[in-house]
Amino acid sequence: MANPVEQFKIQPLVPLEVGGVNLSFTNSALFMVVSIVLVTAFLTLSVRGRALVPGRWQSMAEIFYEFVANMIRDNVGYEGRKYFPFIFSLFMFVLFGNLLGMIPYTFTYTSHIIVTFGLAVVVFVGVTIIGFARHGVGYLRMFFPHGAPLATAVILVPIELISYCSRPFSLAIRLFANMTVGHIILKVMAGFVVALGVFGIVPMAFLAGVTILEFGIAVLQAYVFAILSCIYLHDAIHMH
Amino acid sequence: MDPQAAKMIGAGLAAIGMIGSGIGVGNIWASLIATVGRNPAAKSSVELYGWIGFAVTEAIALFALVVALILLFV
Amino acid sequence: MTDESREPRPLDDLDARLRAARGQRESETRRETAGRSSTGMGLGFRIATELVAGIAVGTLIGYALDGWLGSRPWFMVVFLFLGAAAGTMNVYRAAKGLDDSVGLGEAQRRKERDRTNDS
Repeated sequence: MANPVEQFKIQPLVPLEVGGVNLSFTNSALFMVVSIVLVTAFLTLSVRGRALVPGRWQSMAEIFYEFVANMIRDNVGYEGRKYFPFIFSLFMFVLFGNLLGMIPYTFTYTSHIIVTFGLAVVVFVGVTIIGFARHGVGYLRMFFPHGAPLATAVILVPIELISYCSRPFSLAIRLFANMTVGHIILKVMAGFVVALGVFGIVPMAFLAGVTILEFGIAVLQAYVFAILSCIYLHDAIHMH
Repeated sequence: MDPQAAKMIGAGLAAIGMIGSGIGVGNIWASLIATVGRNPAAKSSVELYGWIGFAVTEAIALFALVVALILLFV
Repeated sequence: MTDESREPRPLDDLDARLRAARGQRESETRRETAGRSSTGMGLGFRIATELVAGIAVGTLIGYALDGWLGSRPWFMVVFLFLGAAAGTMNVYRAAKGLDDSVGLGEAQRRKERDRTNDS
């Protein structure tokens, strides 16, 4: 039975070292490129016809577009339109990464915490910059709840500050943990199927259920990642 | 004994203290769920006590964590 | 093909009709997202990560401050407790559906406002 965490191993495909920094083109990078190519091809080819009455592919592309557009309109409001390209790219990148990982023998790049943390930090830093750009120093008021007695600021401000700083961590850990745990469960279950012989039919049935659940989680986590980014953006733009 | 090894063993022993906190937190939510199940109208008044109890019980686990971290890093 | 009313309506009218249909749908979707109730499993997972993330970030900040000011271990201890408070607060917010807004008082007020608007 193969090691269940072996699937997450990063292997350099094209070894490359620049100035002592390992910049190898790994299988993780390969699948990021694959997903970007797939997303770009899917979106450009499907709307190439520019039909007024959309065909099947164009409908799919339009569904994604409308889904994200509605999400931004509901959670950020009218001012959020500017940030649509960013949220849309983020959503598609995470979604395709999660879904590509469900294909056997592929690599799930969202199952590495450094990838999800990188994405989360981009959101976090971007949102903080937007907040300061829109409100100036007044953005710092966010760290002190309205109406609380001034004396409590000593405790409340650090707490709110930590709460604010924990956002990228919880965002990253959520996506990473969901994907990693799901893939490990799949692998362990598949190992049971092989190991139990005829009785493997029982874990096999379970495995089928878990696979469907995993597809659901793959889509749900991409949605959660995007919607939480929207909520943070809303906070930065409106300050409640 | 190597002091480094003694530190690690001490940190591990300190972390045992979290068992009690785990039982306590489980107990609080179990009672809260039972209460709300019996009398859903009491939810709003009971919930606050649930959160306070959770925070206080969780703090006990943090004492254990503090001791473990101090042993490891200081 | 003499029946005028059978003819599909002109396209410049389409935009206005689309907008009207969307406005109708708007009120429904808005309510749906306002009472955004995640699944039990999702919420449970989220609560676990919030608590751990709060404590981890607090401890990390304290550890970094200690390394900077050379005052081991006091900042770490203080910030561990502050981080735990932040984590518990985030858990409370997640459980009450107040989302991740920093500034609890305002988030509560917004929730109240939503509730009164809905009813």
